[in-house]
Amino acid sequence: MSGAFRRLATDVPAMLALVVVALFVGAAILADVVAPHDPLAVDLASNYLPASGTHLLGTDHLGRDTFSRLLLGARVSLTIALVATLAGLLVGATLGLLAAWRRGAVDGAIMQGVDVLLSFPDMLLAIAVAAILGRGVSSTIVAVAIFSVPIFARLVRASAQSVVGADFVLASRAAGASATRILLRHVLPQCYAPLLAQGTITLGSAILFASGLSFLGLGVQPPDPEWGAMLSRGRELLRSSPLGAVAPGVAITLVVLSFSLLGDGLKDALDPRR
Amino acid sequence: MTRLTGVMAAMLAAVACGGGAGTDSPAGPRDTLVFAASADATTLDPHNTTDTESDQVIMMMYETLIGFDRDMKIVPRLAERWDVAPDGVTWTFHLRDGIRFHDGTPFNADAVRRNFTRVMDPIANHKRLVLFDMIDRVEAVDDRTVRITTKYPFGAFEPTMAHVSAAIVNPTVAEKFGRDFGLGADRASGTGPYRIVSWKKDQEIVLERNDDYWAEKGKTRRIVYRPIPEAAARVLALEAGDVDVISRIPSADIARLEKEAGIVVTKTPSVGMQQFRFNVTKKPYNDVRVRQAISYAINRRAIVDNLVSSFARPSTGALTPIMRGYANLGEIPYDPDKARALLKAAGYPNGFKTRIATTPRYPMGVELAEALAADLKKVGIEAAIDVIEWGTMVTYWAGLPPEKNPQEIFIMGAGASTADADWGLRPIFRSAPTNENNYGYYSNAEFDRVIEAAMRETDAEKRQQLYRRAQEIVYLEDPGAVWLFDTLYVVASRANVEGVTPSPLGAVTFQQATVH
Repeated sequence: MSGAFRRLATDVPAMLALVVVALFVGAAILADVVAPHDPLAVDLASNYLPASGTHLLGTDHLGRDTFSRLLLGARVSLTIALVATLAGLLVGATLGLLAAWRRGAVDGAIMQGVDVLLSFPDMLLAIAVAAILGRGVSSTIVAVAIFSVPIFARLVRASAQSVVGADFVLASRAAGASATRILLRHVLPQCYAPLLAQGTITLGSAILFASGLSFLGLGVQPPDPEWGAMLSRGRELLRSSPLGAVAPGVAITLVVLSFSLLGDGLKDALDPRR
Repeated sequence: MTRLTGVMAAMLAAVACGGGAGTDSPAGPRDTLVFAASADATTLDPHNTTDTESDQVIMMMYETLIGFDRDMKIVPRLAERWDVAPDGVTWTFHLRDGIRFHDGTPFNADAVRRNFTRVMDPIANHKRLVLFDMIDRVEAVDDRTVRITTKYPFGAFEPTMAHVSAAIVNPTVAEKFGRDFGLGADRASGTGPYRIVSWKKDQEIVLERNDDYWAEKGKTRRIVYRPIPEAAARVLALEAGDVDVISRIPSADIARLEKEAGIVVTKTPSVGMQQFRFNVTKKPYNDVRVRQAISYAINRRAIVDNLVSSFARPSTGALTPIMRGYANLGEIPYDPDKARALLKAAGYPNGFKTRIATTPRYPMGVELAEALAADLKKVGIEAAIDVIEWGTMVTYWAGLPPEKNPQEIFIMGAGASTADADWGLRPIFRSAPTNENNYGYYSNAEFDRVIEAAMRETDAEKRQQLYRRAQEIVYLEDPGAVWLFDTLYVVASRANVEGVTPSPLGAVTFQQATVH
């Protein structure tokens, strides 16, 4: 494992990405402390202000500080992405383990279910879920989690399949270990590396999907700041007061790109064939 | 890289040249004006439409017996004069001579009679049937005289007759096509200054000057309506010179367009208002003091001056100044202390929690709800915002009984296509069992009495007094809504376009427009 991290440390794009991710995570955690203004404070008399010393990224329609909203938006977006990815990972990994362990009909049923989910265009699926569950943070999380289930299920199944027949697994079966114990103690750890890499990549796409849902008005509801929602509202002013849309747009791009690069870096670094 | 740069340079050049309607300017006016509509017309049957995009084309092709001028005064059109008998119910219209429909059929009293038979036919059930509810019968006295008898003296009869849905269609063509009248270029015929020559669904409608028109003929030979649904794309099309005139401009772009050389922005005081309405059947909105408190808690000036200044004027009554029956009751002052006192008196010293429903379909709809919520918070009311898409929103306004309607405060645009107090107040606030038009279930016995009396009052002075009283009730004493602002109707055109006529009804026409 330590070799893997040494390899990662020499991967320049991945390290840059790690720095960006760390910055945004820091911003998300410290949003209340760092934000120069109350991100929800409406002051109509000072709306549409350009960037300045007081308002680093200017103000929006309602005179709220765009920079402060961006910081709080980082918390909202990252929380949604993290919770949704973990939930998707949990469900996906369980299904994958089950499929690899039981094989036969159970495997067929699970993987066909996963294939059905995969056959929907991701965004369409997320929109459908949000439409059924209603708007808001929690339904956004569910929608994004559902979309990330298939990839984790397939990944874990593939990795697990290669070890369920291995000698050490057979040995612990012979020693009388329960299925749960074998799966959790012996099989799952073999999947950590690809899960970590995929989880990082999924975090990025989860942010993108959550923003997409909010952009369409199905996700986070006003007045709470969320990058996608900010982009959606700011887009109308793109020509006259561009920062309102450009700032959240750049934030989304940076974070998604960083998670993706970091995930790629982890994948390479953790590759046992290297 | 080089190739990419080349492509970009070519694109920039194309944008810079503007390529299209605006650039070719040989001597003399051009023969075509292009209007970017926000949607295609749904039908060109004036009796069966309620959408502005259709009405705008209809107004070019058809005419009413009497009409509105630019200040919403009633003026003669197909009728050269008209009068009402002392009984207040018998109206006589004397028609102009020598007018023909687009296909050459003469226009006469019988055509008028057949038109009203058509629009009032309960079986055909055209969308505008309800507007003519008060008409008892229509008779052709002779070839050029029509007598219309109403069921009761109806104070808003003239504006109703000037409404676009009272337009006279060619009855021969209408009877031939029945329900399909107005659904194609070959099935729409009127007396107006322009006739339709082609209609490619969702692409363009082409109107051509009616050279046999009875009054002042059109200046431009062809008027083209091109649907561009995306608002930002309409603005770009105007800036690039691909189209000559646009309406329904994103509020954020108005100020920028005003400063742009080569573009002229006109703003017309309209019959439109922006409100947030109360569902008065929901606690605590059943208490008038709570509604008054909210009305005083909103800083309308700040909203009008900062958020919507490019297309709004402060409300000064329950109607807009251009409407018949309007009474100036003044702006409602911003008074959070009074709001807190009223809340305390109503038993909510610490405020309460509520929900505001809004839709981005209205300009700045989401931001207005946020501004409202921020003001309410200052008097202790915690309002959560529900952004709801239009399609879902209208299901809450579709004749629901109160127990099935979850909305508490909701955004609402209001206005009256007759520019008259009757249509502007009666359907919206008169007591009704469901919310088919009275979306907030507003109910006030005195208001009902006054509005009913006003409807049957034909004496202008008395009518005005009654409507003033009705507005005092619904605007001040027992508020049915938060009136935020009166809307301005905004149209932008290329500077070389002249004679465009925006109407306070929120429609734009081109009867006398020229493109230089």
